[in-house]
Amino acid sequence: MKYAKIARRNALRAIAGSTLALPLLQTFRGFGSASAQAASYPKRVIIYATVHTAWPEQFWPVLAGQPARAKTPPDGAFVSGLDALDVTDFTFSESLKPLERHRSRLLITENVDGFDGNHQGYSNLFGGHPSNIENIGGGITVDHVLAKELDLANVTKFANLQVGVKANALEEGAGARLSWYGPQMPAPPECDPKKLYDTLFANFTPPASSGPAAAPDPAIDRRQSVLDASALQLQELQKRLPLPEDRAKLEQHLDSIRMVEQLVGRGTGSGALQGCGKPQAPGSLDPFSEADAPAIADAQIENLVLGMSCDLTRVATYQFYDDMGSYGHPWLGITKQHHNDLGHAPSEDMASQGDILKIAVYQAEQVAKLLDRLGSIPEGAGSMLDNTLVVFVNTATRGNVHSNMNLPLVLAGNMGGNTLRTGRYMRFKRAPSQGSRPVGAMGEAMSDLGVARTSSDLCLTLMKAFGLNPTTFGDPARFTGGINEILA
Amino acid sequence: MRRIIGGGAVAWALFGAVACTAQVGTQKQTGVGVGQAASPGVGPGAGNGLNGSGGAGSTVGAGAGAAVGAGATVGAGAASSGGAVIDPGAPGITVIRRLNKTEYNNTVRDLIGNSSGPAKDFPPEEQGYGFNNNSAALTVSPVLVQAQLTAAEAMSAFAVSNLSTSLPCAAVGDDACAQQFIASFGERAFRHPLEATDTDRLTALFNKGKLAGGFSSGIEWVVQSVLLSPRFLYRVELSSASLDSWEVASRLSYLLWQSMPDSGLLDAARADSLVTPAGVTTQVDRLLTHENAKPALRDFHAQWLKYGGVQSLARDATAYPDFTPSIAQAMREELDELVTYAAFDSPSHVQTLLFGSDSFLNGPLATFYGVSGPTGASFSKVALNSAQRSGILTRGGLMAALSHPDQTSPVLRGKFVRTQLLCEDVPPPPPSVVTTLPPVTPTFTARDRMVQHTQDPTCNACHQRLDPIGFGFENLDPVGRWRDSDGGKPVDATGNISGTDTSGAFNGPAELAARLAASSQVNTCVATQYFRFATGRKEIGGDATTISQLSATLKDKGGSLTQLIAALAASNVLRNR
Repeated sequence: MKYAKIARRNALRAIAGSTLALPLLQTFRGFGSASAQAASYPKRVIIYATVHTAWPEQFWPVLAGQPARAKTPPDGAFVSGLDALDVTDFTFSESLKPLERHRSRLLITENVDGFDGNHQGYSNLFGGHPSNIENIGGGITVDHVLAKELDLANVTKFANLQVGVKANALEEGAGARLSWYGPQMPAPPECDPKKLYDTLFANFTPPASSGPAAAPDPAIDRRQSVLDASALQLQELQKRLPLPEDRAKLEQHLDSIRMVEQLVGRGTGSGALQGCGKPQAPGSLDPFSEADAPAIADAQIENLVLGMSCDLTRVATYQFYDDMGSYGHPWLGITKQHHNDLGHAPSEDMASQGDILKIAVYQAEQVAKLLDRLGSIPEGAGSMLDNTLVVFVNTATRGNVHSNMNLPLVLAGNMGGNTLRTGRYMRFKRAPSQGSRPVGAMGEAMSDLGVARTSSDLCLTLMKAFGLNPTTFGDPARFTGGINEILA
Repeated sequence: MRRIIGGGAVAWALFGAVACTAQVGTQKQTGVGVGQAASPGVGPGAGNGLNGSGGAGSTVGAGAGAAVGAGATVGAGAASSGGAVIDPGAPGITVIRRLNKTEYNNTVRDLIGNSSGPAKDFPPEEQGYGFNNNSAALTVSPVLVQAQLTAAEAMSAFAVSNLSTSLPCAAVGDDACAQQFIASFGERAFRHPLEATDTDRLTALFNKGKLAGGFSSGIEWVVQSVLLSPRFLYRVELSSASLDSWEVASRLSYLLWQSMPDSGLLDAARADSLVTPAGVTTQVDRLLTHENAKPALRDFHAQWLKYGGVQSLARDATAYPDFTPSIAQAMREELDELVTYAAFDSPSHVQTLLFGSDSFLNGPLATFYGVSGPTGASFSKVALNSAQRSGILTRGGLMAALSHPDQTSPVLRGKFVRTQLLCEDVPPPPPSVVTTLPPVTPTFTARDRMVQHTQDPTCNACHQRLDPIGFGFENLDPVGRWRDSDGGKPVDATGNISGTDTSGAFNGPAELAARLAASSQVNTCVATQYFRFATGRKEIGGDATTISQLSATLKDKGGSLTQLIAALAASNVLRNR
């Protein structure tokens, strides 16, 4: 099934029909069956993505008794194992060392490919379709698919959440966004921790430990009325505008209203949760400042984890940098620009590789902090980490060849305690490709990497971890049936 | 950096035909071609044929992301209508225009009296062909709908917090008063008298709101609904060929003031006096001589000349410790003052802008430049040394913006002249190229660092158009100060401009400025840039007549931009769909 197409068509059908008001109204009626969830803790996912920080030989684990990986040769053919592996005895690479303290909670997965093209890296990751000039944004991303399939708008206050750190490029181009409502419809992340705090917590009081779920927002009726009126006027106007371009533009506006009505959650969460609490309100931080970035990153983790602890949302993306990522890292002593100076640096530029490693280590530390924080909030006999699956991914394998084949990818945490087979390093078999030499998104010849698993497989398996039972995800040409061996 | 990289893949596709990108461009060109075929003239790839270079917009990175959105939107429309066939010789079409952030804020200010600028919380705006009022790029995403809803809630709360001034009648609580409010507020907000369906819908919302929380709640619901209405959010034009007076009033007002029509324009619309050139000219003269015309003209220049971010520029603090945030801010103000002077107070806008040596400095900036001038914090006009500072390009703000943090960039400076002043296209470097520059050392000049651009034929194919222009600015350092030596050697500012109507060798910025100021291509480019800003779209082949008329007007009127604007405003272009 192609979620993007279906979702769009449904939305259009609903809007194009003469009974527009009815489906819109209906979406507002239900207030979730919160009590059904109360017995168990919610299942959650956090997709943490960042850019070009991982050279393969610095990233993948080394097997017990094996020498370290060879350095990536300069011609772009990188070192990747071809055979399947499923081991628990391995040594952490330099890039991933900070995560070692969570070893038993990790599943390091090698040979999962994205769609080529670093500059479309984010949007190519989780939508199942390549993002390109005819179809910018690819398709609806898995966070929105989950929100729809699980009807999260009627379960939690936010059907899903987009969190960012310096991911605020002015152009909402393909490279700038991780989360997409659908093609051409980016869902930009909130990069200002104060604003995210206000969104999540300004009008929120953590429920008493045994009390009922929070009451629904009384403003919902008014919002529903004014949005419905806006949609009706758009429809009327559409009929009167002579140009197809005008009508198409208003149609996109209608689509957007529909999405807002679908996705602005009306649910109240699952009521009292053991660890629910409000974070400290963040101070004033400049989301465009390089110097403020580490403080913003920490504050955003706090916002996200505590927002989830109160069941305000269950599905979130956390995007650290837009794909251009042309920023310095003053707190690491790196003044060179991440994308142009470091990402594009030649393979023999050891100084730049050293800087990239420093940034990679910083990112792994951030993920380790996120896991620490999830682990610190009790849920039942365990912690939030038992019920939250974290996907840690990098959009590019090697910046200077714009490749996102063999994604640097680590899964962590769990769902309901034992859904994910953690504490291991798995590599999936890579079969040599039969066809022509692959071509990168920018036309450059790529090394022939053959066929392994894809990000679409990962998306499908994520949905399965949530208890859904989809049969396919995204473009069939890039889907191989899921990565079901990562689930117990 | 961001501009080039952000647009990277897309810009590739658009400029794939350029020599040094040939092998990469082929594959992607197909995609562009499709968009073009679906709707020539609106899609991103539409050739212009006006200034000899053809191809897409001159704003490589900024335009690129938006161009995709624009193409996609148009493509969808064409597909749904079974493929519109548009006469390739016809003028381009402006897609229905959504208010951008500036226009939204100004409109709310003039409509409700709230100057807080609520659109600051809207998601970042796409640009198209260098301008943030591009009609195709201004789409509506779900995030924007959410932000518009939040803004409408805040603005309606503001309106009812001061109910007696918001209402046209004294009888608060009276349904007849609510009806009066709906009619008068609606007309101003929609820039058009309400139709019966609008009135009925708003009345029903008033009643619902009144039921929920009394009279003021009813008014609040009405204001919220109006602010989310497409009649408010877009500049709706339903006339098929000639616009009616209300639609012309909106065009004039958003063109010249970036806001809703004022009472004078609304009166003229009611009197239906804006359907003739004379009626329009009366209003244009009034609007252009008003203070409110200045911010719009400044905005045009800041976008055209890309200095919108100068005030927050940071440079290498060790090498340039006195380039402080307040100096960067002063450089921005210098540019704002200069373009205002050029547009409104100097006899020739183009000559003053491109060749003039008058500028506006305050004490700290004069000290920073090392010139004598005012001593206090306020800005005043200063005549600079014309051998060093001819034309706006030689001002600190632009020179600093067109530099790297620790060194000048002949490439960025040359590219700026090509794209912004000559309206030519410059593709980004191929993706496999290492663009890291050699480090700054005491014995290397900028020219030395660029040597690979001439030695490597792949690089030189494009860089021969860029670097030799940029070298002419080498006397102006990365923070826009004059320098006589670089890398321990005297600055060599000899340069060369090729492939234009003003080609030839020159030495230093003043000689380059003289060449640019005398160029017809530059004159046409200025007219073209204003055309893009005014119409909210990229020109196409069918616009050639209009552009050449504008260009001729600009020349005939001695380079006066305000007279060009007056001519445009009175022309059929403004009064017709």
